Amino acid sequence: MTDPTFLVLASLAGGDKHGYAMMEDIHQFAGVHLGPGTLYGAITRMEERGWIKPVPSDDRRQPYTLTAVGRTYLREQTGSLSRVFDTAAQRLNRA
Amino acid sequence: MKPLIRLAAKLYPPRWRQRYGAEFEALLDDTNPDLKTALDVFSGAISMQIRTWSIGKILAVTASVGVLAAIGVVLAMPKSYSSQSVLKIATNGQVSDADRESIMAMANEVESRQMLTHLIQAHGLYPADRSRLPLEDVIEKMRSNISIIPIQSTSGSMPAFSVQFNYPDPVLAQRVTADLTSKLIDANLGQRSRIAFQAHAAHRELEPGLMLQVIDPASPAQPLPTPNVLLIAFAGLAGGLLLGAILAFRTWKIVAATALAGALIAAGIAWFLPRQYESITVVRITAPSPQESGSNINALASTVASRESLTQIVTQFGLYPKERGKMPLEDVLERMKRSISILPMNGAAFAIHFQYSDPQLTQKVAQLLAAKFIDLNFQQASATPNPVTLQLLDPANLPQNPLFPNTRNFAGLGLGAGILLGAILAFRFRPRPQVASS
Repeated sequence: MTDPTFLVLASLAGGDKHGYAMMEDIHQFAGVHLGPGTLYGAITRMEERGWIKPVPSDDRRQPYTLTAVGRTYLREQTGSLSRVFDTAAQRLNRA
Repeated sequence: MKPLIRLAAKLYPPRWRQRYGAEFEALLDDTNPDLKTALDVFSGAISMQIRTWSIGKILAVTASVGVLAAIGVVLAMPKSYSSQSVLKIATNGQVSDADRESIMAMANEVESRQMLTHLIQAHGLYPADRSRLPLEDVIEKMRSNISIIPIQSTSGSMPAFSVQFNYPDPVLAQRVTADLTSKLIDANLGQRSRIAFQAHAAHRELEPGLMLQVIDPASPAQPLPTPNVLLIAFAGLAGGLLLGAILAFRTWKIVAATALAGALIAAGIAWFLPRQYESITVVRITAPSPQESGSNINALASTVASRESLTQIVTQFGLYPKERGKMPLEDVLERMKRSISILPMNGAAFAIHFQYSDPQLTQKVAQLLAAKFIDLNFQQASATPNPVTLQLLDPANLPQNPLFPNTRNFAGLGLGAGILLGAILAFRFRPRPQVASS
């Protein structure tokens, strides 16, 4: 579970954040330290796909927010991952 | 570390920096400036650059980098020189198994730790290795650069063997070969004295043992053949294209599969192609002057490769049976002539190369060609006051591997073609940007 795209989407699902806040948040909930290059690679791709967008701000630090398309995509991904986790947990319990 | 990170950030494409530059710099101000961050920013910049490049540009850049890296590797490889001496084994009869064992024992003595340590110190060999490696490793390295190889005659006996030493300095290569040769002679003398002493002590009749004679002293060192630059450059090109295709299409499986299939198909084709073997024999020339030796060899070569002579060889060995059924004899002889090469070696010897589809016949014909040279020369020499003499230095070898097709080269070409095909397929079936359903 170290895909930067998924981690950034998961972070923004909790509210709008700028780059450094996302890095801190991801480190806290996933234990993964995303470098600035990796983070902005993911941000660039996701903005191109229309999953996130910048929020107007006067600060140099640019906050981002999830779009409706991004939220739907994250919901789909979370659903399919949940099914995988549930299946794995059930099978482990049976074994 | 901060200036390095700032420099890496400048490597992002200008359009990207225009859009994200200010906020990215703000993030860098907040981030811990360590090496990990610098590497992450650098790889992010390269990745972003590649995203802005066209497929053609990615393939061109990676292929060029691959070729340049391959050529760089070849140029960086240290040059090595090889010197060789030839020792004749003089015995009463055939070389026996005991003689072989005795030669092995002498070779082991010469390549012993004590002997090699002495040579390393006496000639100051491997100075760079000695400063950073234990002596045992340097000795092992030297051992791997020494070859004591039997020269097999056609009857399978071992009438001679060569001593070869490879080293980056040609002068030292020759000196060490000369030393190794004289140490073999010393070992042989020591062995003979021991046998004589034992026979004397046991009141037995002294049996004439094996005796080594130097027939070719350590030659001036020749550069070892360098790797085929074109082949290595092609491998670099193929590797660069493979990397480029993976970066451009992110579908490495297609490229890897076609590359593997290409290599296997080409190796399969090589397997079914008719094989061509080459046997080489070397004849030593002793002439009053180099001009005389050259003109004499040319005259002999035209007689050896004459219509009459080649017809006799073709008939004697039943060469080219298929061709003889399909084409006139003149064409068959022309083909055979093209398979023979006479190449001078420093004016003191010449090599006869013969290529044919059957390894045994290749060896026999090369041997007969050398014999024809020597016989013809002998006939001519009897009528000349200062004759040129020819002596068989290296008997014709039995080729072990075919000269053509070279399976490795074929597989390499197949690999390259497979990568190109894979790149085309990957472009055709490249993944489209994902758009989540709303």
